[in-house]
Amino acid sequence: MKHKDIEDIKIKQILNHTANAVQIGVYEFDMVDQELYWNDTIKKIVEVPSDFVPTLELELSFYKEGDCRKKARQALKNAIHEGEPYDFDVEMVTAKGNQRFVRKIGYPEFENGTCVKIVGILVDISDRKKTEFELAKKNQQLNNAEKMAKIGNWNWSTVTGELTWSDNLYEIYGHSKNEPISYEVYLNYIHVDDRNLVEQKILKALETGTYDDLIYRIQHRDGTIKIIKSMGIVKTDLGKTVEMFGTCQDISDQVNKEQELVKKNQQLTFAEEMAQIGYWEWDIVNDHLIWSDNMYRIFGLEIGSQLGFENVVAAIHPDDRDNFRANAEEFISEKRFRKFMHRIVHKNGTIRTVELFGELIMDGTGNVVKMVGITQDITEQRMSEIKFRGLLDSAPDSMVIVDQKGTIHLINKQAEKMFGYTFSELKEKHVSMLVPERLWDIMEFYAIAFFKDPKHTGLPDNLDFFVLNKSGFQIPVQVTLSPLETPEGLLVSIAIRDITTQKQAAHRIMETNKSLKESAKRLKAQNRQLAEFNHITSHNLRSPVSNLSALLSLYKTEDDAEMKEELIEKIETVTNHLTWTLDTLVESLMIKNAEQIPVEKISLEDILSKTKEMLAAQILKSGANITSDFTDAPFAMYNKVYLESIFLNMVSNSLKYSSENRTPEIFIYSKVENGKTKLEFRDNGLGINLKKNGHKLFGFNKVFHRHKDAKGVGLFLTKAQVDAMGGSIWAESEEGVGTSFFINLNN
Amino acid sequence: MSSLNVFVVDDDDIYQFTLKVTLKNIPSVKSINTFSDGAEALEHITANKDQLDALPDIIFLDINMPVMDGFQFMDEFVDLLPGLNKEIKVYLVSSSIDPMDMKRAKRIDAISDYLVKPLKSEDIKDILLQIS
Repeated sequence: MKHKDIEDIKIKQILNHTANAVQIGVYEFDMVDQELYWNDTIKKIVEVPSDFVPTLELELSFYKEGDCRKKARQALKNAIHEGEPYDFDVEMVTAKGNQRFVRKIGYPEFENGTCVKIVGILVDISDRKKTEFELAKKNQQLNNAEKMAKIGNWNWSTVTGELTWSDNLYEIYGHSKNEPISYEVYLNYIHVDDRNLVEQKILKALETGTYDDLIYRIQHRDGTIKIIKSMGIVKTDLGKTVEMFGTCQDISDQVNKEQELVKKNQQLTFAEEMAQIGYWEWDIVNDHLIWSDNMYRIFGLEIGSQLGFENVVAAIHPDDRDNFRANAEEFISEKRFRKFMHRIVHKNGTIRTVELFGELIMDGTGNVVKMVGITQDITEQRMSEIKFRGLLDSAPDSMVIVDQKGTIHLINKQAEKMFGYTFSELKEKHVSMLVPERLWDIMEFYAIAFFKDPKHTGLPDNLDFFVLNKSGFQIPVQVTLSPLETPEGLLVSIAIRDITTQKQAAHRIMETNKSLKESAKRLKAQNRQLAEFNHITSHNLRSPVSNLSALLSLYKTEDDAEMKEELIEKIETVTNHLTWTLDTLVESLMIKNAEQIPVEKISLEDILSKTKEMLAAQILKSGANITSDFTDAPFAMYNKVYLESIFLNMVSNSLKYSSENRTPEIFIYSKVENGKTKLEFRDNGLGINLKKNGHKLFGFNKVFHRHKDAKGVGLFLTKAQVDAMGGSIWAESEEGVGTSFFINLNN
Repeated sequence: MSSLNVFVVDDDDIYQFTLKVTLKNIPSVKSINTFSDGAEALEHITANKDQLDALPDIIFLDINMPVMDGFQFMDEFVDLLPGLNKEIKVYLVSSSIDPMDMKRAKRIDAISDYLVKPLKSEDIKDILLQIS
């Protein structure tokens, strides 16, 4: 071995040793043998065992895939082909998957223009990189902090005139980082009005070495104005200023906020005055009062004067003082504030009404130590309230004011009278308390309809609505609803009019009307009777009388004795007829005008038997067959004489007007229909043309057949009897077939 | 000169008797026919409609009669009239002074007048004089 080689090896060993000691990785790549040597340090860095045999491709695989690996390969290529040494930082991924930052340095060795060897070192720089990252992060954070605080720092060498700004300061001043910066440039940014001041301050700092805090305005090129607070330190050397550094903070927002606060405060004060509200705070322990300015104004006291509880009491209306004291005591002991009103008497005698709202502040042990609240001057409000109440009380109707939920807010004096409750008994109660339960649905229906479309609404007159008073008495009323807009929301003003007297009057009118109707009915019946009677007299009385007169005039002029005798006979006949007519009329009038007709329970079978007995001769002569069926209604409550007469007339008519062509068949039956007893007399006699004669069927002296016994009285009297008992009679008939008479005994 | 046929339609025997006595004393009366109700009179007229001598010149018609009263008679008589080749005067005669009856009579053109019983002989004479 040559001496030089020995020395080389020796040096290499020393190097290797040293390298390992200082954690420097050493490598050597033999281009001829394509062999790669790594010292132990490299093996440690890439975390492979010491017997690991590296190759060039294996090494490349440890560089982080992507840019890092590309960078390493390119450096190697350049070294081999161009002979360029390399030195770069690169990321590696170790065999165990850990990330490392390394610095790789390499030198190619050339022999005859061919690269034969590359030697170099690989150093783990992960820790340094980490530190660098941290620093960059810290810087970034500082920048961020500056940005957030809108603060920037500056440094000005007064010797060289060099001025440096932090990034954020550029931002604050709106100055581009690419443009030069100097004291003059800086001065240019300052608002013209403030520039003088700033220059003087800085001159002063240069001279005295003290930098006073400085607040001034700057103006961006776009016109934006910012408020800057500048703070600084002056550095001197041998009594001479050499450097100044400090910060500039953009305090525009704070300043604006402060200004806004001031403005708000002014507005609040204004609002207090407008709303006539004063704020107060009472330190009970020390009996010390803090009042807002307006509170003094409300009390008519000098603003800012020192006050204790008794000073306040002195300003209160004498009549309200006791109550005021009592309230204060009560609130403290009950630990609860309750709004209340009192009056104040100003020095000039003006009386104001105020209302207090407040709350209590307690210490840790629950003792009331403070009372805070507001006092509102409600004099005007109270006045209008009093006026409203006066108006309400002067209304003729009962007024109840309720909200949408039906809660009673106010009632007037009339309502107190009507319902028998005082206002305090009804306040906050539900209005249904004043309405009978059976009408709740109706009440709700109209309430819903009203609030859907709030307008003046009268409940229908025919609604028959009632209210309930305290003693449970129901009063008929007429109700009107009106909307009432208030700050508390829409209320409904319910006007309630007691219509008891109207109702009674209406009832009386109805009663009178009813009796009038009855009278009219009676009169009508009497009229009809009169008309009937008139008809009877004009026909049936006049004709015999006129006959008499005719006979008499004949008698006077007649000379023949025989003829005279005949005329006398005729006069007798007419006179008899006249007597009979008068008797019949009197009988019918007696029936019609009978006030009380006695009734009894009568067996229809018995009546028929009696009728048959009375008509035995005619029945025998005609061979009539009389049948009956009284099973449905065997009895009748009726006047016995009338019923006998009715049966007699009906049956005798059937016998009288029977057909000669057939054996008379008379059938009588009774039944109960709709609670009324109905009789039917059916025969197979001559029949009557009812179309022609129906209207005079029951008339006096109306006869429909040429029968010697037809007098036209039977049906006339029968109808009179039936009518008198409150019943009705009608007929159905067919000529040549027979007739049926129907009688409803009573209605 | 006796020329007039007079019909008396009335169920009242006494009236018939008195009227007949009165008419007999009037020279212009040729014949007197009496009927107790409208139906009888109508039957007669219908049966003799082509014999002018048997038809009346004048009818004294009562209102209240059984079977067919004066108005019912008029209803049918008016239908019959155009078929009769004779002028027939009808006088409604009634004891009724009921205005309803008078009104009803006025509405019937074929009725010449409404006479109220008792009839005076002078009045009857006047009426008959007018016709003959």
